[in-house]
Amino acid sequence: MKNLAVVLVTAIVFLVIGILVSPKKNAIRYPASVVQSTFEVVKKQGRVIIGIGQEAAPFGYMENGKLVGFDVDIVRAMVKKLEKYAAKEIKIEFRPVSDETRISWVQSGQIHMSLCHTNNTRKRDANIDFTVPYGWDAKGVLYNVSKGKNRNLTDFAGKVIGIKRSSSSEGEIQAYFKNKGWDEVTLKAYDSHIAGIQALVDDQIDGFTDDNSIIINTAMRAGHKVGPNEVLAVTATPYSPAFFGVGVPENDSDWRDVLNYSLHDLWNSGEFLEIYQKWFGPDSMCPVPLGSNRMEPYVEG
Amino acid sequence: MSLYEIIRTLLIGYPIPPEMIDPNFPVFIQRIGGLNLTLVVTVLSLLLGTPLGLVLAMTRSGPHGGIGRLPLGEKMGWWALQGPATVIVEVIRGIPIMILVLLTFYLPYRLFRLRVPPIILATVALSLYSGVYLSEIFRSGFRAVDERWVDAAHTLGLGKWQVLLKIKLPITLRAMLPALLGLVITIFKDSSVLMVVGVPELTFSARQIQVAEPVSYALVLGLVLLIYWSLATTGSVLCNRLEKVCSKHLSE
Repeated sequence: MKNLAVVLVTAIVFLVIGILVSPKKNAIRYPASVVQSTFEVVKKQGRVIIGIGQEAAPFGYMENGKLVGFDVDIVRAMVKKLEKYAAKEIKIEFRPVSDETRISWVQSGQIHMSLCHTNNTRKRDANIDFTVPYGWDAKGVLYNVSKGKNRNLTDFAGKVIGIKRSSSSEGEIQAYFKNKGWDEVTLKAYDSHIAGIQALVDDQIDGFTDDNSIIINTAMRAGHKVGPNEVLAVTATPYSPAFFGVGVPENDSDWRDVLNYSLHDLWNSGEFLEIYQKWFGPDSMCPVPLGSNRMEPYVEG
Repeated sequence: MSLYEIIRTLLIGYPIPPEMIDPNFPVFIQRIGGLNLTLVVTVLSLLLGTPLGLVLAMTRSGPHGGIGRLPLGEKMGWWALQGPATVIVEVIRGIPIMILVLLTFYLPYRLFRLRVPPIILATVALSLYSGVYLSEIFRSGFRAVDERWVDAAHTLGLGKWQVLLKIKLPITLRAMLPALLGLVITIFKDSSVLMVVGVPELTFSARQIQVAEPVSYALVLGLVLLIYWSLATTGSVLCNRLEKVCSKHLSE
């Protein structure tokens, strides 16, 4: 009898936690008009709490004891523009986020925004909102040149590909291979990019994939040469593009607007390009030409 | 990055960016990183887990002589206490530590709008984890004391405190020590799961080095392994000594 009671109570505890935590389907979760907009909260408190990734170069990582990266520079510049709209000084408070927590913590509201090289996918958009993309990349497969030069995506049909856990690459690469009618790839998840790249170097997997800039940067920083005729190389054609957006709470239009305006302002003032060139320009470790990518246009007036 | 710098970073972590420090909480504790953070979190969570474990163990063990012969009112009182205690133990013991950590970092804000620095949440998560396991260790310790020995000691004229200090405590300690040491080492090593929520403990610092610096992947992992292993083994040796001291006292 007692054991049964314990089982029952345990089940009830989980049920209650589940009900308290579960987001309500088909309901507006954070109606900005009813609940205070995050922007109001940020204005009132004079601080903005930002989730920031710290383990993926060139977006956010430690260099000479300092947190640096594209995401870090962009968000610092964004908050400067944000101060104009808030008409007061806003203090930045960083919270470290990982690939596992960058979405859920925005959802719970414990961070006001998150920049962690987050690719704007529809699955994620169901849980949080994104600003206009502030970064563009492509996803190819990193491979060992000694096993074959100039390989294409077709060469990886039926092979074992490493991915970073909690990245969006998993669904994308499988969908791409399925659409092409190629043999499915076997995916192997790694806790960090560097662990996956090391496994690739050690020939445990046939390829490793994530955003090109991250895998190339991580491999080069670890001392591996990357290029078509070097030790490691990335397939010339990608299987998916990547658009990095700032994660913001769902249905908080005011907050998302003001962050979009800040990004627009950065683009118009030229500061955005300056930061972009610093991290992805021709002199950077892994150049990603801007090409036809533009900050989403808008009309003044 | 020289070997010295790598080791130094592993021991104290990278400097915490000033924006990552919550001014509403003590600043110095938020500046800790690397092995220091691992040790601080391990020690704090064991210290905080001890009272929790004691309360849980005492509740679950019931009164001296068992619940059976008590009057109905007291019986129900004990059951009312034992029920929740058992639920706490079974729930937390049944959750993988990584899920427990993710929940601890998610629920306080989701439910109570509490915004707490990562190191405090990390300590809370590991305290819950260690408290539950400590309670089971304490329970096994309590059971090791044969009531006949206590009765015998009383017959020999030993007072209440003498019985506690000379009979109960050494027996309990000796019975618990191996399991206790196992738990200390487990908590010390398992604190590496805090990496998933970006707490800059030893393993996370190692990853940060690997991401940013052109150093050998194996070298950094090897150093981390060496640090974890040497400390765990040192603890093990010290505990063996302690075990002998306890036994010696008992055999006198």
